[in-house]
Amino acid sequence: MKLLWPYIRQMRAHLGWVLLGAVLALVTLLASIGLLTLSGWFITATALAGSVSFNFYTPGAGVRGFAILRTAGRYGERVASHEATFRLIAKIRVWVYTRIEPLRPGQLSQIGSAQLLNRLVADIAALDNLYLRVLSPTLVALVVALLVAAFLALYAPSIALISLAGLAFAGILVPGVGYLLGRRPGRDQAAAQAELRTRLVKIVQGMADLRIYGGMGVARDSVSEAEFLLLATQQRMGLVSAAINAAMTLVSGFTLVAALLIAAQLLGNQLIEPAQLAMVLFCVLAAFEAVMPLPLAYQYLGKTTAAAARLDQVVNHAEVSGFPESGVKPSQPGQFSFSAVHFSYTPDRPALDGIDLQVAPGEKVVVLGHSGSGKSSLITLLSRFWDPQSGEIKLGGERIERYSEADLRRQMSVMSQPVQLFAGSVRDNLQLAVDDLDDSTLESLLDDLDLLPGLSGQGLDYQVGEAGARLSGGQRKRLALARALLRPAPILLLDEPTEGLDAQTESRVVDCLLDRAQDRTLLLITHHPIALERFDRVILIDSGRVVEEGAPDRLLADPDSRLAGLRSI
Amino acid sequence: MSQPEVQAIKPSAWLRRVAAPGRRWTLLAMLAGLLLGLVLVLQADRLAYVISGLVQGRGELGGYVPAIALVVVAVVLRALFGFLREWAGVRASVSVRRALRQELLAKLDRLGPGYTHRRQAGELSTLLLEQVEALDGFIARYLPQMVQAVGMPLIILLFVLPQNWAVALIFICTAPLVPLFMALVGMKAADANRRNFQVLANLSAYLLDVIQGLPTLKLFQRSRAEAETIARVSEEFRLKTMEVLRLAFLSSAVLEFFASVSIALTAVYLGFSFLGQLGFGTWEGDITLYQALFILLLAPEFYLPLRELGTQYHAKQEAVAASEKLMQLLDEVEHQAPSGGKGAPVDPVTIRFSGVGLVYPGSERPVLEGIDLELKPGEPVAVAGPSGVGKSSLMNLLLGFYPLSAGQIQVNGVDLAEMDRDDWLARVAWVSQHTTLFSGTLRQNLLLADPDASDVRLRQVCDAAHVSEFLAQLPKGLDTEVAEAGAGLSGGQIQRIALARALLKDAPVLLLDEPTANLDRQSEEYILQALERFAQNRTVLILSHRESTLKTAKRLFHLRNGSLQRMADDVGGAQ
Repeated sequence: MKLLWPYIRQMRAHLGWVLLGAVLALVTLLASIGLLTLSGWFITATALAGSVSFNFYTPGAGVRGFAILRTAGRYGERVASHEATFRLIAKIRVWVYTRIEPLRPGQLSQIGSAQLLNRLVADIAALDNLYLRVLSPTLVALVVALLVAAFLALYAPSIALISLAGLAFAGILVPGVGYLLGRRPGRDQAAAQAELRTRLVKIVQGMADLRIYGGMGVARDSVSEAEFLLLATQQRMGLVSAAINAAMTLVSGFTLVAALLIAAQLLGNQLIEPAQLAMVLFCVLAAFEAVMPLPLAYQYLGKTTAAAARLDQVVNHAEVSGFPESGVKPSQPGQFSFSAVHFSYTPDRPALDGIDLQVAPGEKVVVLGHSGSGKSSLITLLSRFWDPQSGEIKLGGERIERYSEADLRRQMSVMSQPVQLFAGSVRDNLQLAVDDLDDSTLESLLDDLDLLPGLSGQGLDYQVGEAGARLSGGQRKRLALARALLRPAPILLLDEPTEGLDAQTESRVVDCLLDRAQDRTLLLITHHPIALERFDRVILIDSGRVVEEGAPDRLLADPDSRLAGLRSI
Repeated sequence: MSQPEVQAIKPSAWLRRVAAPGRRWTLLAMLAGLLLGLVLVLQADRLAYVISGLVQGRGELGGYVPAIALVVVAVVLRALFGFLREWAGVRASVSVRRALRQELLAKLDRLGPGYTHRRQAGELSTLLLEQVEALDGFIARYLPQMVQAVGMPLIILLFVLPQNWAVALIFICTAPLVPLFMALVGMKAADANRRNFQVLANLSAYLLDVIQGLPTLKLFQRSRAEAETIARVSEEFRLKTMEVLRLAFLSSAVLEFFASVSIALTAVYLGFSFLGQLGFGTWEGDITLYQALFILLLAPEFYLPLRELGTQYHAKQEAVAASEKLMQLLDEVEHQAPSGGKGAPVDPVTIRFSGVGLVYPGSERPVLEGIDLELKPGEPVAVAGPSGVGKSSLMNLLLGFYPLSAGQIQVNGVDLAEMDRDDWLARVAWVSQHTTLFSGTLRQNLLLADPDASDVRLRQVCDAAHVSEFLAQLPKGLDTEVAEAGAGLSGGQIQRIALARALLKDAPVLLLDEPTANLDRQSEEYILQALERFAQNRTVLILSHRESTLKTAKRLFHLRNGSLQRMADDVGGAQ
């Protein structure tokens, strides 16, 4: 419950809707019980009265009133509770986001891969249930149980007691036991599902291996085996849930029978009137509607608590932003350097192994290295997504740790790998870099990068889809490049801007980026040599170290250089 | 997004077919539901009998013990049938999902690696896992409930009509509305539910987009401002959705209205009849209190199953959404490689590509075009080019995983398309960029290549592939479980195991797809050394973009824009 508290607190902002939803749910339920109770009394009383004069107007109107109240209440309840839920979702989303946003991407990636982020988002969605399916029904059931008991106590205190006991049994004990019984299969189910996924991924990824080396049959058997375990735990889950529902039926039925026996005794002793006997029994029968959704609510409570626990790990992650509130200003804009920098993501594999590298303001530098050589780590460290284990990084003439986050970011424009685009139009994505540039500026840049023809004539309004899914790999690259070029920063850091482009487009893109980077420092990272002659310096990196550097013409002219060797292929 | 009408009908027909393996359990669930209805009638009957008798002072409580005992029996039976209904639903769902997953796996097997390599593994596994699971609610609960929603009103009518035609008329007047409501619930509530889910899904997708893009947002100093955008987007979603939901909830309100009104009308009619205000409705004589109570006890049950169906409708919606995706996979065109075709040649093997082209369906640009290439024993050929230019497609063609769009591949003069696939694959060893180790021990993984290999032979290949060096550090050597070792094995070590497996297969053709990508220098050197020895007298094709790996080849080609360009002969010698 402590885990859920932060989310329950979020309700305060929309308490009006929350309470309105709950009150309307209560009214609907009471009207429903009232309808049956009154009807039971009415027909019994009229049957006993015969044609003796009987005030039938009041109960008749009451019955119709309850019917209308129930209909209107149900509608109002659904509208109000959904209003409340949607408002809460918005609140919770923003709250979680503001807790995650300050984390450094390095920390965020430690929390998890894309799949875990996916779960994180699903967990936030699971919190929607907290109000709609857990809190509201529980609260309403409690109030209804007490009101019904109070009403019954007016006529037969003993029946009130037995009903309260029955309602408590069905509303607390049975779902509680179900919750406890279902916890283990629930956990097993999550584990079995994870195992099945692993095996499915293996069979899909390794299908070529399986074909060539044999073993498809074995692999399929192993999937079947994991599936069998999953289905078996689901069956156990189903057994528990079916048993719970059966128990609910038994409790409500036996409570009714007990009430019937007591009522008969009371009637025999003339402690209640005959018509009241029918009324009381119909009331008991109808009251159980209040507790019927509770087993499901408890199930959701388990899921919601688990979701809250996982979120808690992220939301209350030790926050080390590592940026000073106010820091130094760059003394030498456009400069950066690495001296003896050691860095590794995991202890056993260094990404940078004591690298030394200086780049002067305005210099155009290419960093060449195969994948895994550590070249992308240069950008990761300059952006301070991670910090190195040792060594010194300077930016704009000052140590990198001494900048505030805003001052650090202001100095550089980064195109990272893989590129990240956002659902929305091409314009939306470009405006991430600068707010108010007129369309013609943006279009001319897109044209320089040969991007316009592929946008179905919609130009800037073209919707790129989730994460840019409606663009090809090459288009995504160039759009991200355009975005980076638009950002007015003294340093441009580009990671593989031309990968996947054909030779012609590639040379056009290089033209464009060199043209737009004229007064800026440019660091271009690539694994495949492109237009090297047009850069001031080439740096070759392998295993996290600089293995060769110099002016491209000089290196290319030297037959013993590594660069010349690379070029001959 | 909008799909043609024909498509919209198909999923439900497909779902019916898919539900077939669970039919017996589904029928049992439906039967249990109907029995539950009958028991409910029994309970109402006995309760009405006891209450009316007691109220009208007919005899002592003792005389009603048998009737009360029957009520208890009815309660127990209701619990029992309810249990049975749910349990049978679960069993039906389990058998359906099991059969469907088998079918999908078989389909995937037939589609083969030529298909899987173009799809994301995560995406396909989601299809086989979550999308199949999404049928659960539909099979387990929705199908039985559908029968209940029609059957229960009929059962009640069957028992009420002999007692009182006026009440039956009240029910009957609303009964034709039942199918109408089925449709209403079907469309409106489904619409509401679907939009509800869609909106939540959209919101989640949006949030995922933002959280995954956080590094980029930070780099552009936009991450703070995004909180406001999230709030704004959520608010817009709320306004739009509530507009729809306010309308959609009307359908459930109408259902609620009829449920309430039929009770109210019944009660008022009965009461007024007793008071002598109304003189119609019975077949003979006056209405008795027993009849009135019996009817009133059943009245709420008339609409209850229908209301429950409405709450389960999202299960159907989910199933339909999933079935659209599953049907897509099942409808994928298979490339049937011949089995029982011509036998594959014994070594040595010469492979000739002539005018080979490949266009993936749905795309205009060819991946490969006019490829001419000859592979001979002892003359390793390398194809270089950045990732994504179609190198792997070339290999898929050679392995027969995908049909050629143009040209021919001949193996010792025989068209590959006419060759028995398994026979051909038995002649091929390969090492790929991402080797998958399967659950089981390392030994079992190696023995895939040659189940009868002796320990001596195993040791030989492990030595040759430099596997032995790290084997000693593993807890149980070759008998270490992959799952245990998994995290401890580096990419280079896994590649060396893959190489050992290839060596063990001892096939005349060796295909290497980026065998050294993402490896450190040391591992790369080990692998290249071993390869060089192994490549002698074998027909070898290497795909790579790493210079050092390319050097092991005799001839080097560059793959660009779908065609091969000869780069240099004897690269190693030229250096």
